[in-house]
Amino acid sequence: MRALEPWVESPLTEFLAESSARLVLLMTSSGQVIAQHGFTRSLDVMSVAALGAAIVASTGELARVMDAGSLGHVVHQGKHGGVLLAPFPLGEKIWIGLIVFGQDTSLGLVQVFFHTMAKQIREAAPGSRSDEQILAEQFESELDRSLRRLFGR
Amino acid sequence: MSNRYDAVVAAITRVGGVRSACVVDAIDGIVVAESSMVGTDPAPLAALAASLTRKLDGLLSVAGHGPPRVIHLEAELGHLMLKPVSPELLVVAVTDTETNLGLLRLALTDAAERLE
Amino acid sequence: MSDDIQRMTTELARNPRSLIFLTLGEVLRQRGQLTAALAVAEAGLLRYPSLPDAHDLVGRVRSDRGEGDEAFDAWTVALRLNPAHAGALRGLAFLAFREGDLERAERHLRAALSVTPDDPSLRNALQKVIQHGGQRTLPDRPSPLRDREQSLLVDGRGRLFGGRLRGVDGGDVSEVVAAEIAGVMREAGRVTRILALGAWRGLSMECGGSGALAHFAPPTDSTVLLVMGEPGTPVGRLALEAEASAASARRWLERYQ
Repeated sequence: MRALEPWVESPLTEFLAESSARLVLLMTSSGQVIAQHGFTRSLDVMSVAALGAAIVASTGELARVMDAGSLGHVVHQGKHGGVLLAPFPLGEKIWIGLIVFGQDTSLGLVQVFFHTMAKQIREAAPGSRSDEQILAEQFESELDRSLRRLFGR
Repeated sequence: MSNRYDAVVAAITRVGGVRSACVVDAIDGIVVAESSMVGTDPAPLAALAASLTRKLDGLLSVAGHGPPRVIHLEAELGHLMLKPVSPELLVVAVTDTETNLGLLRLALTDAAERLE
Repeated sequence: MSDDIQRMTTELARNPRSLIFLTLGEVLRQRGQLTAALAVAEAGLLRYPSLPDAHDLVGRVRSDRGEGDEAFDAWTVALRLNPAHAGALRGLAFLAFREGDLERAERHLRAALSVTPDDPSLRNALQKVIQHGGQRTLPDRPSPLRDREQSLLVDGRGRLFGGRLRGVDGGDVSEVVAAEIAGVMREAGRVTRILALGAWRGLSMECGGSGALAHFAPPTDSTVLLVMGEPGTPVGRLALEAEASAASARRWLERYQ
């Protein structure tokens, strides 16, 4: 597990232990990766973060167009496991958790412990953070920078 | 469809001391229908009940038994009782320490029969 | 009744809070009046549950009555209340010696001597234990589950401490079930923790197919006991049997862990 923000490590470690998730990516809604577990290549993280943020954005847009409020989590269930895309508020921002899990756990367990992790992250987040706004045009450079730090490059 | 499930959980909560009753998707560990006291979140109950059932199923299977029929977990501050309806569905109840366990067992068995 | 006993009994009747019960109980014990000694000791213990000497007295009487497990419990409590209680250390040394666990007996006696170095009876006892040192090998430890069929004692890492379990086909499934029990134990702990139910005390289930019953009980925080019952066994009875086995396993674990 690698995290850019040290205060994310403890909640994420607990989440991994309780949920038995295989892969985890924590990112901002603009695709900036905050922490990852289980990915071995920066290229995977780059693709997954970009696609995950895009899915959450398009789902949010779909909800808006349908006037359906928030659609909450996005779940894809396969034969051998599933993927959960779960946005959650952190201060003024939205963070996204992308979790890949296998048959040794369940969607319910992953969701329950994800809620716990999100709450712990909110509590642990420094109160007066002035996160710089990441503009759309900065997306690529932010992603590259965070990946270099996550993979020690 | 959901009325059927709602009626089942409502019947379980009529047993004295029941804090929360759920019909649970046993594979995903999520709530299908529930009736809970205010302040009780049924999501952890569903997830954990399904997970416990799966673990016990695994244990019985290595000893050559079939899946569990009724499970009762007794704790310091209450009871968890669950009854698998099928490999996909469970009925679950959490109670205080004073609940009549015999009545609860009958209520869960009746609920399972109504859902079969 | 001797004058001494008469005098102490009268004093205790006049003042039930008197600590004279300690002396009276011991005198009765030495005279072999074990039923009366036990009644006096336990009545005193009710008034002074935090008094190590009261537990020590119960331990001595129980030991004389041949109730080793109960004596062990009493002396263990006395030591919890006062880790340097020479009487309790001596008592535990005696029990260990009687079971052939000379190393443990010697350890308790040395601990007792460090508290009361001038006690000649302790020195004699230690000498006796050391003389037996030629046979230092421990005898086979008794099974924690005694003769209970179809039961297993396992720790949180799936290590098997005792018992044996046969599967539906009659084959030995002890090891594989022990490995699964560790996961069940963790899950039961997690369920009660997250649902705020406090510590779990027991888990019972009816097995599909065979109709057999299974009951889990935690003798200690780090172990679990599984007891299986034949189809048709009343759930409550199996739970009681499991509780009794768990108590026995608990004593075993306290001695040997």
